[in-house]
Amino acid sequence: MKTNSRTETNLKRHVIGIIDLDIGNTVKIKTFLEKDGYKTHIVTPEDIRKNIYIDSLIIPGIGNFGMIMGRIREEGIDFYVRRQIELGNRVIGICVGAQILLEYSEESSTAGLGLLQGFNSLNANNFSPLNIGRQEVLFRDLKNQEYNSSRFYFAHQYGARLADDSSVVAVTSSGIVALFKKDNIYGLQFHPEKSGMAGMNVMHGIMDGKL
Amino acid sequence: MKRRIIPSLTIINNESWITQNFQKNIYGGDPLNAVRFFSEQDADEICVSLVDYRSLEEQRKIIEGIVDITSIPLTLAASFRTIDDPSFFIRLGVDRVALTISEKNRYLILELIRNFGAQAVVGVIKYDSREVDFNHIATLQLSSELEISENLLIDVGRDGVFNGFNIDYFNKKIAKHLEKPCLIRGGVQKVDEFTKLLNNDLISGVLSSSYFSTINNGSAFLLNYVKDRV
Repeated sequence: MKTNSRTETNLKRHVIGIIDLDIGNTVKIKTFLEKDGYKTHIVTPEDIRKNIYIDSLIIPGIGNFGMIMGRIREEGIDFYVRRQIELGNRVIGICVGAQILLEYSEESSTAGLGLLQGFNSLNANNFSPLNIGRQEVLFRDLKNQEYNSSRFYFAHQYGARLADDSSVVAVTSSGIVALFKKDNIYGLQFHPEKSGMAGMNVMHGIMDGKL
Repeated sequence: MKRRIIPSLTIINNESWITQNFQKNIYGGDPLNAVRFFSEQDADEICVSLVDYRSLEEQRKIIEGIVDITSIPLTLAASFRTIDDPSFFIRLGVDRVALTISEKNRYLILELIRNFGAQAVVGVIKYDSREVDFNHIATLQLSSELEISENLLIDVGRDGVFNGFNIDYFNKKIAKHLEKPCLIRGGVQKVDEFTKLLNNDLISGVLSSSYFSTINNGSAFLLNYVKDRV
């Protein structure tokens, strides 16, 4: 199990913005990160208009793809997200927040942000597309093996299909994309805030630039 | 699909209660202690049912406390009347909300799915395996029509009485009408039963309240979880 090796100085440098979509689990993500010493700021529509500065940005999960994208476009969040990427800040999407980073989803006719090439389709399970529960994932890169054998919480029906397979960092045993990455953009299909220490370790890996 | 073992807590006036046939109650202690225990045991999930005569507004504090101390997935069952209450709880950190599948709840369910996605909604169907003519087929059809991703089937007749889940009734009366795996609750008696039930392709998870508490002298205490034995 990976342990927290970050210094207090590193922690203080990070201000993690959490987009307030009004329909996600913003509060839980905030408390999850703050319990580990991260500084957070819930990014409100007013903050977006002021183009407030943050170091990393989280787009929270739990929501319908079309509903989330509608909110993002209404509030000009799409421009704010692109601005963070241009600045070299990390952008981390969680669950549906990860799905909207792609071009579209079968869940809705609304286009996604298209920051990575790919789309989201219904999971191809035997009986039900619902993939729910805490599952181990396989990190492909040998340098990330320390994250294997940890359980992460999934709750989704649609999953990412990435055009560039090299963007896939980790998959479940049934082949569902668990984590993808392109430059400073991260997509987490699982909920780190509901995955205990395993979730926190992955957040450490992202914030410390190891993942 | 991952198959789950899910402790279930029934909260009445901020206290945990063990139910029998959803009527007779045995005091089960402080729900925060129970949630803390199941979190520490790394339970697959936890399901909290609010059975209360107060408004949901008054019950928010207990859910805030539960969300604050747990890092495991949390489903909240309650008599939601409008979209505002489940929205508030999901925003707070509840992962899924469970509500009864009925015509009365049709538009609330549709609105929840439209806002939060189908994975965030659990459809509850209560039945009593002691009754022969209970019509759950129409309810299952409504669930399918509403595109609910997972149902929770509760056998009220076996709830809390420790005589085993009525798998015969499930197989004969329900299984053929299921289009997807469901959660079940009602009567689990032994640890072996979890294993058998979870090997059934139509069962995605087993909930229990009374199994996870030892009941003695009218009180429930000594919480346990079975993860390592199943």
